[in-house]
Amino acid sequence: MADDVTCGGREEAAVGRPRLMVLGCGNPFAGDDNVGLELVHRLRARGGYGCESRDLPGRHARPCTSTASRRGYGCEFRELPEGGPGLLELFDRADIMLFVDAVQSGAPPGTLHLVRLPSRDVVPRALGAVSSHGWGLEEALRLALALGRRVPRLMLLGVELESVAQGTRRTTPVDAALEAVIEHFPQVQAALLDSESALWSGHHSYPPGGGLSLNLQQEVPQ
Amino acid sequence: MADEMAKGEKTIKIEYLTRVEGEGGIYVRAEGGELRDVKLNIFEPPRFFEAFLRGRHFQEVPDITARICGICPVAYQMSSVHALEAALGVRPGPEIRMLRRLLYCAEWIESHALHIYLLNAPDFLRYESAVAMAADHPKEVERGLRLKKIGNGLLDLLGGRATHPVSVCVGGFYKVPRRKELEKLREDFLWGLEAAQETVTWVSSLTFPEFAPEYEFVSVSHPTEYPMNERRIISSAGLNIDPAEFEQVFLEEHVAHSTALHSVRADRGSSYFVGPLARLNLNFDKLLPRAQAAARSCGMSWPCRNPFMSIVARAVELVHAFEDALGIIDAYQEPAASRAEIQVHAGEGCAATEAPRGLLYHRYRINDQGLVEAAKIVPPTSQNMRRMEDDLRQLLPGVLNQPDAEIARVSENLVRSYDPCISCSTHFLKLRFDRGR
Repeated sequence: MADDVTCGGREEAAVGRPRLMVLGCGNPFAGDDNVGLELVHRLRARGGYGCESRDLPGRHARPCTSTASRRGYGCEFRELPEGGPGLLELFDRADIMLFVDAVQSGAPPGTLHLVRLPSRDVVPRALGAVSSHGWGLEEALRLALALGRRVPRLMLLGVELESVAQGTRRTTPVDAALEAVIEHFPQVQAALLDSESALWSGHHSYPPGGGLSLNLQQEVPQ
Repeated sequence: MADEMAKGEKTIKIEYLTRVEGEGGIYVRAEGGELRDVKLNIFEPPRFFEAFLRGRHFQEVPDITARICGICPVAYQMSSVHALEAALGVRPGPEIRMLRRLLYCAEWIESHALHIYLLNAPDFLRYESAVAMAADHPKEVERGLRLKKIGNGLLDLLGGRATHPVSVCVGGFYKVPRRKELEKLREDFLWGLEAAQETVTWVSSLTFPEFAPEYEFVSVSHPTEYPMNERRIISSAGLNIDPAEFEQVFLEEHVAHSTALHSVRADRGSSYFVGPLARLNLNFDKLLPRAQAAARSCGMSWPCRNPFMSIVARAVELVHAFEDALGIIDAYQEPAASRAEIQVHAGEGCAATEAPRGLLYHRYRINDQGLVEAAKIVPPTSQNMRRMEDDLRQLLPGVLNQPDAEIARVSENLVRSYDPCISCSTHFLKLRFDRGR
């Protein structure tokens, strides 16, 4: 697909190396709601992270040089597909899936949330309402389980929103949070690829302005 | 669903009719055991596509109209490019024509597979959802998912991406596939052709309610091909018109309870039926051999007037789409030019093509700068809206003595058999039932 960048595929899975897929969610024209899409676009444009920027208009494939790449990890950045069953098809392509979306929990705007999915903390359709046929992440997960298909480990990176008014720009706190995620993405990536990471336990929140650190002492008390 | 008593009437509400595209509801009122009123309440907000196409360059139209629907964007692209080419006097060559047909096959495959396996089959097998059905019928659901994936794969190749393709333009395509790229899909399509025939066998073994109203079936008709992109419009009542006559023959009406317009025959105000069942009934002889053999051997007689059996017509069309696609792939020669040259001038043109859900009419008027001055879009679901209400009026008296849950189930099954795409027609569905007791 023209919009996607892939490095690391089935070959890597075959030798037991985990593949990370980052899925940006949201509406590009609704203020802070585009933060997930923007993160995917920015990380893809930066390159590295075990990715090649092939298939992007005007760009040429270039070798992976990141630490993750040298270790043989793969990372794929995508926009969440429309048409819910499409999500099911992506499950085969990753060992770990990170959904990035704007969220609303009542925390200060720009607060970052890392939540292992599925979780009662996440209202299902808030994340997975990708199709008006009623197919979201929850439905894709349930169908995969009913069919006995393999399901990757799933994590949500939620960015607390301030405004999702149509036609507006992202707000300052959400922009700051976006920059923090980009700055710390290598650590996030490494932690996600580590199945023993404390990130895989429960719900972690990081206050706005403090940057995203994997030092759990910076978390907002739950 | 909730029951409530008011003025001696009982109300049933299905707040959310699932497994349809878009947002709407069904209202049913009965008094003394007699059916009094049926309404399809469409409350999805109007989307104003026709208004915001005005002032846009004609070449932007296929990209904008593709956004009307995530399931059938190709239909909107095809009707728009054919209408605009009629306005501009452009006639793309035979290779482009075949590639467009191949693109439409891809959309029919992904849309029909989705509807048959994930949206409609659970109704007949008495499951709440495809997820619940998957636990007992994993082989069938896996088959449906693979069929859909094959359709999406072809859309991805031809359209640049599987949802809202970006390669279609007035005059042809921005980019056409290489022959070797299409050849790589051949093995999947051979599997798909067999799987589509198994689909016909599977869906024709389902149990259907006895229901066969008198319909006027309407579809596009081509002298030698099963209808997709062209050419005339015919009906089971003897209609045979050029698409340019569509607005004289069919009238769109506003009704208070719906943000989707209702289409009727202009001369007598009657409803009509578009979609796979209409196409198959009117064009049976144009089905390709494997599809026709599957239709003949499935135990059903054609023409068929039972709307619940639309799922079988859809499965037969799945066979046809795979068969057609394989023929096009095998014969494909890369065209010398991916699109025809266009001399911009003022003009007006219209076209009707066959979306997975039925006939889709577009008309555009452009000025000498190539900017759209007027646009009209009549989606298949708008055309079926009045017909679905008429069907409910005929069907429900026979089930009014049944428990509320059964009335709701039958109503939803009927509506879903039409595969309504409410988002397209508004322009979501719930059932409200007032039962006088």
